[in-house]
Amino acid sequence: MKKSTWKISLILGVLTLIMPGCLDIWITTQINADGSLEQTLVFEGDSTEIAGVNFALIKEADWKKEWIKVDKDKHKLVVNKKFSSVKELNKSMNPADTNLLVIRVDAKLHRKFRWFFTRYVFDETVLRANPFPMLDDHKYLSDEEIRLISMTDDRRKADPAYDSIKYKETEKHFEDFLFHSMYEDFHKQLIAVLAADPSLTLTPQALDSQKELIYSTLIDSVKGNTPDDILQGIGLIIDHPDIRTIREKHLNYFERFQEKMKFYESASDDMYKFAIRMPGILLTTNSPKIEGSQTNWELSYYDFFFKDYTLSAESRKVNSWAFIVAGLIVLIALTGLITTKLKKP
Amino acid sequence: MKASLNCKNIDRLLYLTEDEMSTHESGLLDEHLRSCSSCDKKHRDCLAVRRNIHDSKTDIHGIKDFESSDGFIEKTNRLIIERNSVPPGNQNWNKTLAILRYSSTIAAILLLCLFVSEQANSIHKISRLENRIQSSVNDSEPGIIDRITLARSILTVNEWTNLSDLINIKSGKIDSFELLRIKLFLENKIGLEQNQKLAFMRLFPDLLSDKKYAITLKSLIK
Repeated sequence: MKKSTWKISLILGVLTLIMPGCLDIWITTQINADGSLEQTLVFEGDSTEIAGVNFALIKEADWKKEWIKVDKDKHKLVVNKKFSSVKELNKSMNPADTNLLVIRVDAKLHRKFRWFFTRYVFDETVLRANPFPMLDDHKYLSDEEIRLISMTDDRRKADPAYDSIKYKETEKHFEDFLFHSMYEDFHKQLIAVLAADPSLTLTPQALDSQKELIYSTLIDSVKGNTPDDILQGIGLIIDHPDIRTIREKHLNYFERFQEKMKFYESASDDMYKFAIRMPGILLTTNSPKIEGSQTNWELSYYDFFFKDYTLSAESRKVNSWAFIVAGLIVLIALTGLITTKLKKP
Repeated sequence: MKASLNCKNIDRLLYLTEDEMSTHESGLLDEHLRSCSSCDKKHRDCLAVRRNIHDSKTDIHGIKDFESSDGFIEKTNRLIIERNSVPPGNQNWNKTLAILRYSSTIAAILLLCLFVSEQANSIHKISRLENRIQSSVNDSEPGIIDRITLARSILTVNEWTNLSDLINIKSGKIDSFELLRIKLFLENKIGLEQNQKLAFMRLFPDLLSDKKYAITLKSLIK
């Protein structure tokens, strides 16, 4: 029996917890001492997958782009851009248009002058990327379950709290949460269609009263993966001519829902490897991997599916001129003290 | 009256030598000294003291005698102050130098404090980072499942069952006494080679400190 779209989506999603992602994405941010930044993104994988990557910058012309052929089926796209400030960077990585379905990274840089040293505190927050955010995840999953789902397979298996039998239950809870969230989004769109077309007589109350039954039917019996298939499934429960009218006339209302599904399917397949290069000596970071003044994170989509994920690092750089000025002041003070001593008999 | 007036007027010249006066002043002094014995004595004493000072052969008693002279010390002090006093332009420059000297000393102390506190803060942060990275390296050792699998491969079926009997966990609760018994069982397991025993114990270094390992162990044995 062919499985429903939602089940396929879920299986794809769950598989990403076990299998390596379709795309490997490296996001490296270099912070310079003057507050300017340079960001380099490398996408490795199938070229068609790369072209549809979920970052706003892919459509921006002012990024330096270079395609590299790795082997027959694998390509690399390297994109790079220099920014004069964090504000400029955020324009690309966290665009103002909230309707854009992209992975958003919001950066913050604080420079603290401490005379001999300048401290750099840099935070990069990968904003929550659940395209179906209408339901509260805590109603379906505990904090511990969310923690385990967010982990990559290797990390999860090494975790002392991991129990393969219990984890199967966790996966079921997650499946329940995800399908409900998706259906909730579709349901909301359907209500919007009913409100928009006065000729439709089906009431939202009639839909709401059958909501759980529709949901169960969609999960267990509906084949296909388009809004039309889902509406056909709804038609099996609600025998009303308006469902047919919506299928014939108003499918465009569900384009946004389809975009969200696409976004989820592609984003959940990828692995995200972040690196931040700080100026000077590294002082603090929440990264598990450090190489000199570079900090590294390896995130799965589920690390930032439920909530924002913040990558932070702090470093300090020596102000050479401050040491010279301080040396001069000390020299003057010493000269003053010595001459006073010599003058006294 | 006239003599006392003359004495007062001539007083300034009594402390000077021939080469420190003009010819006119010298003449006036000589004329007065001839007629005034007290001033003559004062003048001679003063010249004697000056000579002694010059030759670095100052006689304390001589000074004491001189101190008895009216206002001698005060006048000498005044002359010294006048000689040492600097012109107004130089005074301003000295003031500026003094301010610069004190302010640079304070600035140097403040900068030193700032440097030390900044270094201390940085060292604290770096050492915390080192500790965290070190602990995450330790965390990357085999997980509990791998460790128990390895442990299981060392024990026979009976020993594994005995271990299960030792752990009487009710609803996930385990006390430190039970943990101790498990540890002792593992440590004293008969038949294990010393190196096997050591290998086994290396797998559970944290058994006593963390109850969740024992709970997982119990669930796996079951």
